Amino acid sequence: MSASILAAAIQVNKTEAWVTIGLFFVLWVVVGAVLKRFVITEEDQLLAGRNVGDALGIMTVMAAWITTGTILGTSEMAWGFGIVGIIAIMLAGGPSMLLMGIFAPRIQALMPNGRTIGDFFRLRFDKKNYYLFLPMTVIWDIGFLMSLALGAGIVLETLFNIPYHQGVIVTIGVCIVYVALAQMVSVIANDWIQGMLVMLLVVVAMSYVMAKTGISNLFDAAKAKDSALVSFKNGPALLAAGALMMYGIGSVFMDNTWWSRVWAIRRPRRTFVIAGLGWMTIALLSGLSAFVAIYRHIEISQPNQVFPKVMLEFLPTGGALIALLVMYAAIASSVAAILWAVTSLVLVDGYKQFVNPNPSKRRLTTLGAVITVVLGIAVVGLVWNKPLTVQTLLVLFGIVTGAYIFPVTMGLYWRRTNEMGAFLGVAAAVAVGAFVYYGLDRAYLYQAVILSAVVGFVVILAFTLVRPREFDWRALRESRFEDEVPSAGAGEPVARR
Amino acid sequence: MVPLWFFFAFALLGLIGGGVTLVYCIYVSVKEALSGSLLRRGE
Repeated sequence: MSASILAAAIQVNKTEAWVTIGLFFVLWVVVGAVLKRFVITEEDQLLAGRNVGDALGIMTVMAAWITTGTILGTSEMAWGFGIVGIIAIMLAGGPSMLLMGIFAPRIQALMPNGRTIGDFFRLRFDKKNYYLFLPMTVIWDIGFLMSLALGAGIVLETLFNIPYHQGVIVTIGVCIVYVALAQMVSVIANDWIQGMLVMLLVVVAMSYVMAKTGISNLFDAAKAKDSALVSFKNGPALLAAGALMMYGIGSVFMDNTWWSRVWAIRRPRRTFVIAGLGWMTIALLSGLSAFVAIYRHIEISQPNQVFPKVMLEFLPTGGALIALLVMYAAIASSVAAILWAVTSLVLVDGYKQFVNPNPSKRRLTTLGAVITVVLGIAVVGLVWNKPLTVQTLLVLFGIVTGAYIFPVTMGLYWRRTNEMGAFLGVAAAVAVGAFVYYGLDRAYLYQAVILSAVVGFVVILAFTLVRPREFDWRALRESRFEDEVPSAGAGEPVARR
Repeated sequence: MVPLWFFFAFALLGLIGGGVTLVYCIYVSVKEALSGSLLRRGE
């Protein structure tokens, strides 16, 4: 970390920061320990009993999707690109949630016993699609986890003077402990705490800040600094908005984090739509902090410090603490959600598929805890030396996520979708996207993501029109493997409103 | 350049939208906590 960044770090009482993190640790672990008794069947372990209410449902979706990027990234984008920067980030996360909300009832109806997104690729398409998809999604999730862990270490170091390695270890360590305890149940319950905290602090703090400044003053100050900040005539930012929307939609469609929540939540359409709208307001409010910084002439040496510095400017006694609470809750909720998403994929599509289709409940629970711990430790190891490859990995997977938008969409809604088309569509989309980015020019990242989605769509459409397949939707109803017998309580009808 | 009213509406969307979502989430949480339907096992 450069000296200039450290020098610009917000001076927060280190003891205060550690006490805050310690209290979080105790609270989340207690929640996990208390809810452990809830986990009786495999359905409880993997999907929290398939009967999560609206309150926990909205917050688990929203909290898992709110990362430091939502808060710091939006304010950074607004600092650079103004109003279009805010809209770009809103498009990156909002439409994906709304679309998942629209898809959710169909996913539940077609696959009432679904457990992981692997079930969809295995049953809707064929083995080659399944075996191509599994490593893609696991590597994407691990890359995402690495970026979150790296971000956690850097944010805690730059903003709160907590050394990088300590920040990474405590963040991943806290999540490992409570995920291992009650698995999906503790992830969902703690997401509620974390999501409510982020929402409450961002909404209340930004309402207070904007009441102090006045909205028209923010507009005038931005216009005086650079009229492009309050203009839509910003080609690069509009291109980024389009590409980020594709990236967001693709990464939600191919990630088990969201599919498992569709099966876990009682009324997923309502919860995903409300969570998506709520997520967009958090991004919007965080982005407006950049306009506040411009209006108050707050010195910003690093654009990712806009939001915490605005908090500190208006709330000198508690601003740094608010920023710490928001950041830490946002990071932990996403880390825990993805840890469990990968763990459940390894359990169902790895262990049960290839090793033992009918493990005892005790073995599956223990294995879930062990995989979570191993995965967490591996992620800490992977980001120990602050690898630059994480960024490259995420760029590459921006192209991959774009490629999976249409296999999922068409596979869910169009009976005739051809499995060879899906396979070759993904392959062609990734190849073309990678060629544009790596072969032509590294400046064409956004173009590569958009092109990847378009090529994927064209190839699947062409194959399906030439060789349509009459798929029997009933094939999706039984998600279990051939040798697998349902565990106690699994697959039984679930009370839904 | 966007007009002032647009920026005003945009900012209000964030404030009101965030406030409404927050209040709704608190309401639903209390309601479901009282009725015991926050998190039920399959039945």
